[in-house]
Amino acid sequence: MNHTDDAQARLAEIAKRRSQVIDGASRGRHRGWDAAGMIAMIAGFGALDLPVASGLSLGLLGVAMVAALVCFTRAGRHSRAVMHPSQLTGRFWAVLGGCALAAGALTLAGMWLVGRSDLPLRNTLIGVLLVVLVVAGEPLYRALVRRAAA
Amino acid sequence: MTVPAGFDELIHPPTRLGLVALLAAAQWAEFSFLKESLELTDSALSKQVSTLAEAGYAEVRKEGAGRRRRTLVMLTPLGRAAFDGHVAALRQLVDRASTPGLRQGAQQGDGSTVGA
Repeated sequence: MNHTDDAQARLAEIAKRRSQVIDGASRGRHRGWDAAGMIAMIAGFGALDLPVASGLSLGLLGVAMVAALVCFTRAGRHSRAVMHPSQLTGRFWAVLGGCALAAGALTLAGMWLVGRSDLPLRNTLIGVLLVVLVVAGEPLYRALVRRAAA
Repeated sequence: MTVPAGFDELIHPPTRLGLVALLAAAQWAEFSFLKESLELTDSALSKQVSTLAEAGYAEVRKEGAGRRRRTLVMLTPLGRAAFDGHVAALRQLVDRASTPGLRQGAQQGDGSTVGA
């Protein structure tokens, strides 16, 4: 193997290891904190079903969303590896922002849909569906982040 | 063939380069994660980490207690700078080969030893 082939092989090795870190950072999260975040999300949407003033229920939703974010962040800190800030490129944030926007758009569409029905606890149902979406979309998110960091 | 500036013999061996590449992409990584990723035994990984720590390239930190105790490994700023320099040197080697005027020089150096 000449120097060039050797250098190319080493650069490919470095890229492979970077992908492993991206995987490691998204796996092995603390399940307890993740579960707490999901419960906070469902509770937040559940607050919209409470027979209270809309301002109060929206406030409760906001508090629950912040609590969920804190829980998810804490779950991430328990991962087996944490990505270095140098890996969080513009493309990474674009993927993250795109996923957040897509989730937000789906939630709004879901809320508009259930608003037209007489289902009991319909906003809680939206919260449950959002949690299912987050869990089911995790492999897709991981694949997108890996591509963005490549 | 001239070795480009920044080429680091300590980092270049495949196993150690794999380890440093993992650490460079992470703020920190668990020892068990590194072990699984590199498919090394505890002792083999410990040896590699010690070599890096002795050179001032890596730092080991213990966290938690009891069953939740975990060993975290991270690159120091010196280690990160060395890795960045080494990657730049590798890229330079590849670029030299793809630049027509320099290709001949690169081929003449094929017999020399760059790295382990």
